[in-house]
Amino acid sequence: MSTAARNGIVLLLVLVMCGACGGPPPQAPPASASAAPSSSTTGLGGTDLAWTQLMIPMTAQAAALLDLVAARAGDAGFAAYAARLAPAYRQETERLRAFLAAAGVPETNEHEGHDLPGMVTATDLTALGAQSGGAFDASAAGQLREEMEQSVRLARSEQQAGRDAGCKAIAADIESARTRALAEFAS
Amino acid sequence: MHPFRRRRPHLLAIVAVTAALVAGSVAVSPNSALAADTLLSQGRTTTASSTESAAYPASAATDGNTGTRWSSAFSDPQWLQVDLGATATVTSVVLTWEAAYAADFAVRLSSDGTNWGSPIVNVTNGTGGRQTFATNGSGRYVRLTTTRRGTTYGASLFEFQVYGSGGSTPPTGPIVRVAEFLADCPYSHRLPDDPIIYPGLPGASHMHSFFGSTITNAHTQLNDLLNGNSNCNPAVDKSSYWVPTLYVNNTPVEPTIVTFYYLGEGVRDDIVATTQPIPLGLRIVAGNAKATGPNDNTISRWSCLHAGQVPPSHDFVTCPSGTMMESYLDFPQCWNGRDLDSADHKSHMAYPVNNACPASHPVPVPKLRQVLRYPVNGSPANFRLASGGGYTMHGDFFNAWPEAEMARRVNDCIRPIIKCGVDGRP
Repeated sequence: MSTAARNGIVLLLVLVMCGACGGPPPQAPPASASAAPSSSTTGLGGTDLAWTQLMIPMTAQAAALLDLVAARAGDAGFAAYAARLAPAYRQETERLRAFLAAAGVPETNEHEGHDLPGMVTATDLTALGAQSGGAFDASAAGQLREEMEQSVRLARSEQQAGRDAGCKAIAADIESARTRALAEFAS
Repeated sequence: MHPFRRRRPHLLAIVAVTAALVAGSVAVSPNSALAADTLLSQGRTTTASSTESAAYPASAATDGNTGTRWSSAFSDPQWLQVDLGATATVTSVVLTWEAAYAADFAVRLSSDGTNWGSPIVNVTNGTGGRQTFATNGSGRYVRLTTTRRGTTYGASLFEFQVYGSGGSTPPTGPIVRVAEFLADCPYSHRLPDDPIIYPGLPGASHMHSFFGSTITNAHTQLNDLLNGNSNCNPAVDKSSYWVPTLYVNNTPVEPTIVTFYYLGEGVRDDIVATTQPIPLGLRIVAGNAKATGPNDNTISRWSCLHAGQVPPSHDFVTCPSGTMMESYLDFPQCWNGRDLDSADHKSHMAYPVNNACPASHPVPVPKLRQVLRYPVNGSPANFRLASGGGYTMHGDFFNAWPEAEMARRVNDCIRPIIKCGVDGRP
């Protein structure tokens, strides 16, 4: 076959195959479209990421509440309890941050200032600052209990629905720490 | 129910007529698919018995713009009349009612605007929405008479469309074409869950009100939506839509009118013509749940239904008694073409810039406009959203339209800039 003829056949094939050249009809996107939030890490699933990003501000802001209680609680026992817990909460925040950093995920602070169940907000702290004595203790205790119960709930969900073993281990620790703290609260 | 479907000319018929035109002679038989139903009423002189206010003139019913409407005074009977300029054969009439529909109404034709024939459309106990009627008759003037309204408001139409052939040459001036399809998805359930932001974490979120899919919770994935039920009209839309719950005096109040419009606007017409279907499983978030003030969230706005004189705001508005507070939220419509979600749940989508999709997000998809109408009015001092102030309004969308249904609507309604109903048909 001559070169010209072969080129002619190639051209013909190209034209024949170009059936939809008038404009592509709507079609489904390539199957490679990814469903999970893209990240450069390995193993972290949507729940792991969401839980970690949520717990960082939750633990940090609860620590601020504990500081306030340690400084201003009317009941000495309550103040001492808070003073003992605050460093542990801070360690949790650091541990969560280090975990994200090791996984190469930037801390996005999605939930800063967000009023979510169990979250101590800046507004909450300001309102507490205006209270004192028994009223302060009651408000602070209510918020602390809410944070602890929510943290237990979330930690359990992470252990159930999470993918990453390291993340689930942190969740297990937070669950047991909060459970112990709640038991002490009751007594 | 759409008993009438506008026929499309067959390709062969177009070719035949083109060939005949080229040959210098045209013979179009009365039965040809091309002697079809043209929209005759748009832009025509339109008058009415009354209007609720200057914001709702009769002409709004024939301007081709579904963002505008005629609304009559709050009494029966009322009429709306269109002058087609010359005698026309009327083959169908389409009424797109606003929430204030007429239950009993009739349409009549006249050659002189004074003497009216017997009704070509006669409805009792209608239920509003978008109604299409095949008709038989001819005349120059078309009059809709409403004898019983369905609500305590007036009779209100977004559009009144008369199709057929004849009439005089259309008036010059811009004819507004609208690319649109929609889904009406009422309130389904409430949960403090969010399967996009907090997947697998029930109770992590502030309270959300869910619309469309009836099964959505923290664990929901795409397959759950596809296999579950949805209360949307059309029922094929299995998508899940949710917003922070509205509280009035700490009691949840749900919107009673919930419409999701999919629009071909916000980008140039030539880009609209290349709109792609929203990919199956796409998640989109709009608005700013963390806004600390009205200027932190410029995409969401509150306004008043039946009270267009109240200026829209990013925060709650005070609506007059007898009206409803409504929320408008436009979702980003430019997709990066690759990811169905992103780490911050927003970066894979973008709003247009200069009426085009930016290079970073080059794929245009229909613009989702979420419109919620709440049965509340008066001072918003005791209103709050589960996420905080009115300016924290936001919306989440998890797309589960079957691919064929989405593709058909993009092809038939968005790209050619045609307004379609819930069935995705013009």
